[in-house]
Amino acid sequence: MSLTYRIIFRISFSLLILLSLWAWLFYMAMMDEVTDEVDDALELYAETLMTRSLAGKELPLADNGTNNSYFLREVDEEYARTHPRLSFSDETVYIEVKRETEPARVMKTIFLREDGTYGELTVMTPTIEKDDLYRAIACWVVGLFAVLMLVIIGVSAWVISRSMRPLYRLLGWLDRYNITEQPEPLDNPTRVTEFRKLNETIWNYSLRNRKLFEQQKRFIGNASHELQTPLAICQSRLEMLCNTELSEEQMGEIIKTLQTLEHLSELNRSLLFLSKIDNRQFPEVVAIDVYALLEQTVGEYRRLANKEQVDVHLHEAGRPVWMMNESLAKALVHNLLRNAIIHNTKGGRVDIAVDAEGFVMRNDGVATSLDADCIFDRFYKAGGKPDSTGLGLSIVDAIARLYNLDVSYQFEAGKHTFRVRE
Amino acid sequence: MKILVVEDEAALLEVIRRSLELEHYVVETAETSLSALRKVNAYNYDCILLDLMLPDGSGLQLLEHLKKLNRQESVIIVSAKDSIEDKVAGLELGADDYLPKPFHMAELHARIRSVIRRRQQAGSVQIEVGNLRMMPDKHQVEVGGVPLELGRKEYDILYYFINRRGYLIKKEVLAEAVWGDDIDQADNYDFIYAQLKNLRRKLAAAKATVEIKTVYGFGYKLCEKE
Repeated sequence: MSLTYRIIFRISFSLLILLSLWAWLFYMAMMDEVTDEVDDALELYAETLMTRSLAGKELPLADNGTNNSYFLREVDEEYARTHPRLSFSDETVYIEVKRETEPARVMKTIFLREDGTYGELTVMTPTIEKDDLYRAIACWVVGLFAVLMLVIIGVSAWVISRSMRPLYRLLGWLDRYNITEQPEPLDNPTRVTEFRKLNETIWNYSLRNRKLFEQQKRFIGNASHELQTPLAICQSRLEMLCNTELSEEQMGEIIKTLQTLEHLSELNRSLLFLSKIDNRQFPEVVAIDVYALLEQTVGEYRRLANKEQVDVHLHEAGRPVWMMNESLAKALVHNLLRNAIIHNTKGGRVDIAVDAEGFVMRNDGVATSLDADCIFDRFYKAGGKPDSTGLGLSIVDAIARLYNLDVSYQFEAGKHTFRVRE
Repeated sequence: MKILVVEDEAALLEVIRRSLELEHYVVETAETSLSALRKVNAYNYDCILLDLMLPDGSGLQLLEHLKKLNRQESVIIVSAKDSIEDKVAGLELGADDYLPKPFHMAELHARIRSVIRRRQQAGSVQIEVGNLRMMPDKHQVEVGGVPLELGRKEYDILYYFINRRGYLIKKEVLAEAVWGDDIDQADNYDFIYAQLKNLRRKLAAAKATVEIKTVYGFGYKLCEKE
């Protein structure tokens, strides 16, 4: 979810609650005011009637053509005492003229006449108009609420997207940033202090990062490279020693040392290879038919598989084509297959299933899961094979990362399962 | 045979020189690009072993210079930089071979023999050790002038040993060289024993004065019988 949407969403959500509350309060206040007005009118009407009645003047007709109507009746003292002097209520009354019942606001007032008797005056006014009023007010409140919300959302979207423009430019620049290349200039003018600071920090950081990357690259390359010469010297000296007259025991020691040197040299070569992959020193890509490559590789490993008594089965359910460097594609497949054969059990199987998205390699082996979190780490060794470099799967991982392939390990149904997916 | 070794690493230079002298080559050495240039300008060599990374410049410049002078020396590049680009650049500039460090001495000798042979006239494209004679262009072997019938793999093994005579060849290395890459993980070399047994039997039957010795179970070595 983008920052703009998130902010707008949050603003809208908070405003929805706050504005609803406001609208409800506003509506209640309005309604109160309207009722108040109606009551005031009733009171005024009642007062006029009472004044006339007390003055003995003729009262207007109860049904005088307006919607207002009244009743005047005599009540006893007891009734007067037990009932409030003035009361308002919403009732449904039968209006004779219209011959129907209608909701009405009713006011009852009890008053003392000059002759000591009590009169109860009931005045009422139908609330049809009031309902209309309610409805109108409700409509307006809802309408205004909706318009207000829309305007607020629109305005905040505009303000946010305008104010965040430098941030998005910076993000775009970061997307294009590639540590292996000289970064393009960060052209992102802004007057906002925070963004200026962010620009500056990221620019400096990218320069420093690039410098460190270059140093590291040079270091790994140089270190492996510098090791080659001493290794060559040791190896050559020992080989020359082998050609002199030696006892069997001496010869054995020298040859074992030579084997260790060879392992060291293999390790060194793998490290150099790994650092070259990480340094993207294999720029040429071609279309690789994954199934064909696997088929060829399985053929190349048939002898090793036979020796280890491992059955290799290749199953085709799709023919993915990946754009990769040819030698890296080979290294990826070779390392995985070699692993699957070497860390297998006698009489075990390797099943390779290729489908449209990639391939899955399942092999028998030790009966417990390997540590999926560090199986692709450098120098992780699980099988305890002394002559493995512990770099094979790191190379697989590095190649997969280079081409955005997804490589994963699971232990499923007693099989070690490696998935390589696009 | 005169060989110039251009290598700035003194220890490696010493080992290479000693090893070459054991094979009766005349060895000259140079530790910098400049001294190599002087020697090349003053003398002729049969073969030059050239390190690419020299303190005063790249060995490729020296190679370029040789090419400009249209010299006939065979050049073998010996480099710790195991990169395709360097290999391609070197071979394009007329180098005859490219050997990445670290290498086996036996391999170095084999390469030197091979490039020197390539430069020699057609009549001498044959290798003689004792009474054994190999003619690589015709894929033929003679013992004391009598042709010896060998299987393809047997021939390959013998050819490999002849070029590395006197050196201990590890069975892994032999297997990889003769049978290919995919078996370097193998630890069962029955197929090598079988081929070697046949080869030895044939050599002995033809009364060859060379033999392939087993060295304590680690590997093999081709020697002349005393």
